[in-house]
Amino acid sequence: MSRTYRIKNIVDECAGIKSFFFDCPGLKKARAGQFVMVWVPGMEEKPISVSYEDGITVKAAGPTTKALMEKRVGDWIGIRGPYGNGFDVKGKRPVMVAGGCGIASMARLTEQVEGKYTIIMGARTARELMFEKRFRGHKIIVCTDDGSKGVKAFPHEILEKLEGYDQIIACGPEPMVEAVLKVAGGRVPTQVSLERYMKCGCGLCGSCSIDPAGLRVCREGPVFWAEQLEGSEVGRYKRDKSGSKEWC
Amino acid sequence: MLEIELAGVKLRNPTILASGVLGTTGACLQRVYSAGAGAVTCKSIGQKREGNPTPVVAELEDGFMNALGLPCPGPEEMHAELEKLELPLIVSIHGKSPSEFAELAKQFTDRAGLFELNVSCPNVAGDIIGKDAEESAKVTKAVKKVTAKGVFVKLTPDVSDIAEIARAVEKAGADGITAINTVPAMVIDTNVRRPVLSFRRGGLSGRAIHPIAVRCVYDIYRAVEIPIIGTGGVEHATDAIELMLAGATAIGIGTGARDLGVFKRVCDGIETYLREKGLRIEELVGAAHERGGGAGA
Repeated sequence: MSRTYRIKNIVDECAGIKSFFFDCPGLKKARAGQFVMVWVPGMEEKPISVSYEDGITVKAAGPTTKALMEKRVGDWIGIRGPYGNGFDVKGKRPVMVAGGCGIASMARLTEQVEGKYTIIMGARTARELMFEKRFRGHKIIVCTDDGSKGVKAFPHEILEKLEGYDQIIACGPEPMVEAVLKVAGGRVPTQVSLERYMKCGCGLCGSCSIDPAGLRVCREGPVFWAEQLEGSEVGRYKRDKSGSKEWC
Repeated sequence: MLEIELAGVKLRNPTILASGVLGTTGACLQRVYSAGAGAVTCKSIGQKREGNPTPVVAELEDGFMNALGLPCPGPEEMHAELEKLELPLIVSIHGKSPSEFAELAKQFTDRAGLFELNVSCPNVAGDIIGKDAEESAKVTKAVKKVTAKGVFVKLTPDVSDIAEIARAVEKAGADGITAINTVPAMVIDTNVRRPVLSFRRGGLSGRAIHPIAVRCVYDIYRAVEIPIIGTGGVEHATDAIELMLAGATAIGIGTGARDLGVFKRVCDGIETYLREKGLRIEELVGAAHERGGGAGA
């Protein structure tokens, strides 16, 4: 259902990233990995992963998210959903690979599904790391592209050196996801979360569907098992607003 | 048991994916066909267009409202998307003039099993051809001149007399009618006091419009001889049977196809119904007309 909700709280997480909190039934019932379509009145509507039981975590990327950053407690924001599927923790010793904004979904997962997790947490630079506190109690390996905090490496490079896990769950930029899939190489059950440009976000228009199977990122995804993505467009191209292929 | 013939094209069952839903890529169309549709209609092809800015969809209690605004990667890219498909394909095309429609028809006549002329989209600026009988006839005539493939015309319910438009396009050579396109509508959010879609208005679809679709198909059936693809709010077999009894030969499913299981569900339901009633599928088409009540038309 489409409805607007008042912002009840705003938290500055780190450089250019804020979390917004709402009393919204759609957020409350969401599984980690699902997303909501967030409308900034007067601007556009964007898919954003659920980060808290009552909140989303947003980075200022374009005009709409920049406008969202200017909002105050009490302002109205449109939220519909939740849409998509959530992560499935099947293994006893899963390793999570979280890059950039993917860290938010992973934090939700560790809070929602009890377990002992190993988390590889990566960002471009120390300033963009967030939610280390939310992962307390689990084994965390921090890495940054520029080495400003933790290991100077990409998340998939850390994954390559790890042993003893029986599932991989990854969420982050597509190059990271592609690299993780290569490292996983079908050895263990692997789930990754994908992002695609969305128009309806609820399984009707097909704008977010991926080749060659026509799977909808907003409905069969955004979380996919590695087998579903064999021979797919992941890492090769995406589609733009008109539906044209945009090569990576 | 469910095989039908639609303007000379044989389909394994009467369900057809409606235009605008899951029809932007070859992969999606193939997937829907594999899920059990008798035929699939692609997203309307026209000039390269990004479509309207989001929000373009609102979810309502008994339907959806959309104003996608005909996004399209352009005819060349769409032709490439459709190239590898081997299935009954209805190519939907959209233009601003008879010559634009004819150009597109020429480009896609090799790919189309049938054509569907989208003269009724309410989500782009400009006059809606489908509201005018003469303009609709001109477009139909122009397309018929350049292709040997069957030409269906998709009508809008937003007219005073849909039968008039239907008669005009039949006279101009249309091989069939698709009815109905979405119903122009609006949702205003009372907290922010503005329409929820960027285009402000949008097209209503889903359960809410089913009775409107049934009535339109009924009126069109009385007015023309050519077959009708009845579309509007179909989610279960009874919805489809209703449209067939009203006069539809085939059934378009758009919003309902969000759940890909709809095609099998509807087909299984029609089959059960036919067995229970001891009827053949052809006997359903227009059967409600002979069995009408006293008062009313």
